[in-house]
Amino acid sequence: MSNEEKQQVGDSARSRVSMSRRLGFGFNFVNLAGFILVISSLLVGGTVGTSFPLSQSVYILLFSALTTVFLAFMIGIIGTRTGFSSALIYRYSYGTKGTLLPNIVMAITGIGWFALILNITRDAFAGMVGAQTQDAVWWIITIVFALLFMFPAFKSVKWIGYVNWVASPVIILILIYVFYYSLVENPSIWSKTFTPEISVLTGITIGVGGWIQGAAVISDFTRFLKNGKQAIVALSLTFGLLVFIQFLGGAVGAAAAGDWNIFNILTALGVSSLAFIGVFFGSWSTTQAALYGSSLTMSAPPVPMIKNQETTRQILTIFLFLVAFIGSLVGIDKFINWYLPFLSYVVAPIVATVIIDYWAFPKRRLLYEKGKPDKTINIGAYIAWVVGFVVGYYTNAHEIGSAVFNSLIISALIHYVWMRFVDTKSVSANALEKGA
Amino acid sequence: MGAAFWILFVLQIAVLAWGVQVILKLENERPTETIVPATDEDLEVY
Repeated sequence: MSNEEKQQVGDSARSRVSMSRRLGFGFNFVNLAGFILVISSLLVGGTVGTSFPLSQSVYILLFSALTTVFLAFMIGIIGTRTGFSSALIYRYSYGTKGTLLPNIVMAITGIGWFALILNITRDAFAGMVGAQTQDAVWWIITIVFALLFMFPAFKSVKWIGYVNWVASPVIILILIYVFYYSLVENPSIWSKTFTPEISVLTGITIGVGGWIQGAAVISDFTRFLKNGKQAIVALSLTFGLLVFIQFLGGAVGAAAAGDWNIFNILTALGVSSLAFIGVFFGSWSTTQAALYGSSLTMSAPPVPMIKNQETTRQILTIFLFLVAFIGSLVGIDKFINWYLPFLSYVVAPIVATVIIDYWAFPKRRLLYEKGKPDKTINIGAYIAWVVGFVVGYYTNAHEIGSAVFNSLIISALIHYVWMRFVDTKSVSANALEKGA
Repeated sequence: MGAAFWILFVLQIAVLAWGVQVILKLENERPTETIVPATDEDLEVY
């Protein structure tokens, strides 16, 4: 195959990732570490850490990390085994046209994060150098940061890895710093007790909600691992261990500083410049992954191919970058309190339906691995999504159990019952023939 | 932390262990390299 043909395949936006394009374990591990090592995890840990005594926070965050790693296994290993991106997997679960729903949801979520994090980072740096909103320095910072965050996503997954080789150690250093100063200098935080104002299950919703979107799109990265066994190890170390350590870092810092915001915690510890370096690299590793995932999602069918699969992906990357940039200028961060709570209940039903569709029905699993999507729109998946969203939203508003778990479980049940008892042809022995 | 939390905790460990066991069994029965094309020449572009 010529160099030109290799470039046309690129990151395989519209095909499986062939074995020849799979990357080594170390590279994949760093990429996944960069994906999950983000400042928002420290914020989630901080929120739980200020809501519960540390002795309870540890178990709530451990429970949340275990849930996250389970979801990441069940979604990520579909990507490894099939070589498909999340958008190509959704074609089987939601149908060739029905995939537009999860694709649009995930793309909007991704560019929303890009715009939001760009603004947070820009504002932190503008504050440090004394730039005023809309002045020349402010504009230069905004544009330079935006282009830096976009560039690796435009290039390829390998470039995302290059940034992560720097970003991951920087954030780990911050974590070590927070642990040292919070635990060694102030060991009394372990014995602090108070009565929490929210339930343990609500605490779990906060913890799991922090990473459920990451689990939903993790196939975009695990598809570059060589096999499922490597994926188990890589995901255990990242979505399990590192997510837990990050959560705990946020909680411990919050318990010591009495503030949930990691920037304020680090400032209280006297290291605001370290906080900015952490913010910058944490932001870079997250924004590039968010834009990369969004562009993969929107360059998959039914969106028509432009020239070849890599050109399609790169054009969509620039288009979505421009949308995100406009979102940044409009000030999407002002809507964060309205936008964030919805994420868990919009995304949880997508995760549940995909897991059930692939893992609960061997015939459908074979379809994902060897055949083609067998539906235009999967009605069962749509019903599961709508009910899952409504249940999650309602139970969160009324504090009934854990809203994320409610949403996951009800969506999974509805999709299972629909496929098992209503749409029986799709799980029967001839499902593969129909798809192929 | 109530008893319900610890029951959920144990249940979750069991589900996680079950998930790993299912994945490993599937990987042994039908390894990834038998599903995915070896090179780009055999790729189907959608």
